[in-house]
Amino acid sequence: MNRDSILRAASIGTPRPTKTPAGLAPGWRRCLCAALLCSVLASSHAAEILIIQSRPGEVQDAFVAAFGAGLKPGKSHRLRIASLSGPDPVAVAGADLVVAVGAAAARAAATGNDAPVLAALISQQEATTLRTQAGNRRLGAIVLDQPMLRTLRLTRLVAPGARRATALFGSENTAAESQFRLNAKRVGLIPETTRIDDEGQLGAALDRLLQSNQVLVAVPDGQIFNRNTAMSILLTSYRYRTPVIGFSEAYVRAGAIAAVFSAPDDIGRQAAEWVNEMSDFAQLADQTREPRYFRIAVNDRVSQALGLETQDAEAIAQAIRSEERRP
Amino acid sequence: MQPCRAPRAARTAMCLAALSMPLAVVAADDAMFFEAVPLVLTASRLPQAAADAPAPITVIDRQLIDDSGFTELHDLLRLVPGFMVADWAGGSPTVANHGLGDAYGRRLKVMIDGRTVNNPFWGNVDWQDLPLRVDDVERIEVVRGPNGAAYGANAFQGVINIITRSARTESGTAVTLRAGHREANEVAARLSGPRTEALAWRISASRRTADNFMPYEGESGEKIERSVANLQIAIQPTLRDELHLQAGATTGFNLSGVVGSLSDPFGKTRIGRNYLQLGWTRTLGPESELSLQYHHQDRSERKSWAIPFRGIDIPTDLDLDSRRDDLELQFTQRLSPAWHILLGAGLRHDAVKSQRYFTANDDFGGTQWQLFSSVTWRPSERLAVNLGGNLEHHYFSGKLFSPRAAVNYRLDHYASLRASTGISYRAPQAWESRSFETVGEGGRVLAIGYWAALPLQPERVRFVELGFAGRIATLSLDLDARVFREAYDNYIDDQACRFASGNCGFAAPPGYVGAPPSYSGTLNKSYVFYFGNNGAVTTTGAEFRADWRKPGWGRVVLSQAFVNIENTGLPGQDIDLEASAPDSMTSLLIAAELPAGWRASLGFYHATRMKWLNDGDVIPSHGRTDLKLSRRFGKTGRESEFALTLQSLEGDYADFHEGNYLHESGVLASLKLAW
Repeated sequence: MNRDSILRAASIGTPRPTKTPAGLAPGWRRCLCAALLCSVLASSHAAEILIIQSRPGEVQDAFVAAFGAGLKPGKSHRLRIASLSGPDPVAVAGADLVVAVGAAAARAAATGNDAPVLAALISQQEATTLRTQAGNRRLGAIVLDQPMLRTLRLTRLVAPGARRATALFGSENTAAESQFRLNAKRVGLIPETTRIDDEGQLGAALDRLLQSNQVLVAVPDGQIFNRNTAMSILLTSYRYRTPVIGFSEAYVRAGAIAAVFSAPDDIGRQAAEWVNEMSDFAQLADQTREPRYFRIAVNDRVSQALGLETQDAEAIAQAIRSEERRP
Repeated sequence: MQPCRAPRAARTAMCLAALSMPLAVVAADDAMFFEAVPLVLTASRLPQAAADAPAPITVIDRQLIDDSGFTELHDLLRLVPGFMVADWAGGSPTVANHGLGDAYGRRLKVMIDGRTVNNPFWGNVDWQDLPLRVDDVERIEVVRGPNGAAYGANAFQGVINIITRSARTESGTAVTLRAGHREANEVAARLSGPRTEALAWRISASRRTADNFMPYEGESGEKIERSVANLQIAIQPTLRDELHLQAGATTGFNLSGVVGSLSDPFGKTRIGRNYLQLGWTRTLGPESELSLQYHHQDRSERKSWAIPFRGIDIPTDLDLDSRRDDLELQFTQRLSPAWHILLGAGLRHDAVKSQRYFTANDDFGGTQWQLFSSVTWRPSERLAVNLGGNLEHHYFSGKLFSPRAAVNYRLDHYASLRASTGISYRAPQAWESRSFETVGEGGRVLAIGYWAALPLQPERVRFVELGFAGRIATLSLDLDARVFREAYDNYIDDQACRFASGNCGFAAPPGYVGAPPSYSGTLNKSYVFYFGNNGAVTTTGAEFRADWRKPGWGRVVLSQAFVNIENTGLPGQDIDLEASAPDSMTSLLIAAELPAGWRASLGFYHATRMKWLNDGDVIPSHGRTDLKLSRRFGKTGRESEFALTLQSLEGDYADFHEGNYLHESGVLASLKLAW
């Protein structure tokens, strides 16, 4: 360890999210959520929205709090909250809409009842699987995967000198791969992709791709990017002096140069807006929506080590938003 | 949530079983987006950014190592501004910074992955024995000035930290074959485990031979052979913890010396070296970490016990054994956006044994401890103030405190001005403090070599420097420049003193005792080498480094140092000190990417006239140009490569001692196959 590595700037190394992801401590948020739901429950003639959490915790509670806060005050909804991981079975009957938080809740809800299901905090791959399982049931989904174009715009802004961008995909993630190739060209990058069947192929694939590409885009795929592979991916990429664009704040803290991501609050807010749009839950659109609200995190230490001059996270977010507003 | 739990449905409820989903599935949904990931590129894993460092830093990265064409570690330091490198036949190559270099370069602290590898007896570095091949190096971070505040005594003229490639960045197998001028042959193999497993490992082994010097007019030649085996294991038991194990061994021999010489008899010296390093690191944040590291290393020299001298064989014990055990605890923490702190403690035990050098069969050395700390305060975005200090108790020098103060002022995001000042020490080594080197037969002493008869003070340097480090992103250019002043005193000199006249090569130090009475009449050599604090010099100079790289084209790295040394001590001190650095040193490396996997690089190294001290001598102004041509082939990313390097296109040049050693031009071919 370098004993002189202490002079780094305060901002360096700590990702710079455009907003803090959680405004309140988890405990407070739970209380707020509880109070909010209790007050909504008082209305007895309203349509019932059953929120099923896969596993209550900081992430899913933040979603619930933002969802509750985002519902239009004029509409009288009856909110009920349940947890899959609790000791009691979850009673679904009577619910006019099920909001399933997390993949486990979404799977259970999509297969276990007739009410329309709005699934959130799930991946695109999960949403695709759910849709095949849901049959004729109404199923709306808000995924955590950012639009590929948004991720590639971030790539362009963070590594403006890069000409070639690469990404790794699991063997079943063909849709994302074609999206990557298509959108990379839209932002002026030459894409190179590879598909791998298991983790054992990851090392060789990284060596091959990193030698000829100037940026690695981590596309959400649990088969490839997980806590077990992070060490190897980030160290190998750094060895090739290739920046990694991540998909979560944690990945930026770990060593990705930047990421575009949505916090649970952002998805909760979007879910509430979707509910507010509807006059009848039975008409829930069978759609998979990408995140509307997003944040940027930048790792200054890594960008400096790679000799890249990155903008402030907020400036990058603004630049992407203005590009997205353009027709 | 309990107060709001909905009443259990009395209706015909369709119930979702609470535990119908296994936990692993639950963790697999949003986990990917929200799960904690181990912090990988933390401050300690990234090279120090020159613009943020409180000291002048040069990083020799992997690309530069490849382009240089150098296959020996010490040669890579030719790329560092102000660094001087030489080789001689009587021992290891030697490296110094800004002068004061001699056969046993001991004023630089050298580490491999944080493990100090300086020899406990000479204080120098046995570059040829290090259980490490150039191919295994990820990068070398060099502090180009005194840094006792961070690393303690002996980080005197600089610190060299060699960082090896992580087992997590390699997989597969590689075999390297190398053949060159004067039997410089090498065969090496590396085998790495899958890099995505929680346990990453690498085994490497190599065997190398070289005729470094041919015997010439009574001067020693040097032929070496080394076999090296190395094991690296990294385990990640939790997201925050990592355990490291490294172990290695070197065996081989040096064939050197002069027939009939008492001090350097011709023969084969067998070398054995082992090390074990264990480390635990807990990552507490991107800039916060706790680490505990232990290492053991030992080294042995075994040489023929019979010195042929004037027709008879004199049985003499020429063995030299040393060992070191070292434990270090270090804690870094960002306390707030403005404050960062580093705290550490170390404990080390050194032991050296040599009948020849101590005329005793005891261990010499001792236990030393150190406490170090560094605090950085950033009162504004632009300004950083660093205060550091190292308090230690050295077994030869007692308590020493090395302080440093540095101020960095950011001009923009990637450029800063730096001013730093401080004091560093060099504690005398075992041979300077305790040696009484004798060669004899039975009880009859024929010659005395080194004799540490006088108590010594540690060498001291007080330094001040002003520097600029930054990056011009639009030009892809990194710049580093500084001016410095280093005032040395208590310089430890070793000079021949003649018994008969009392004449030393320098003013006889107080306490000079002449020939030991008990040996009078038996000595075949009329002088000894005494050590004394005898010299003070002030070194001033300027140096810069420009590093320009363009993907698809290549890279140009230019380093330049101007050094001036002035004697500031008492009359009678060695006047050669003033000549111990070239006035000007230049290195230029140009690398070009060519089509079809070809790459060409040209290295030019030039130094004006200088004098290596003690066993060394004058080296006239000389230049050396190396040319490397390489081609990568096979599966992309697997790094199979063929390379041809032409060294010293200008022809032979004098090395270390103009009259004694010539560095010949040569050709080196290598083939690396990886799969």
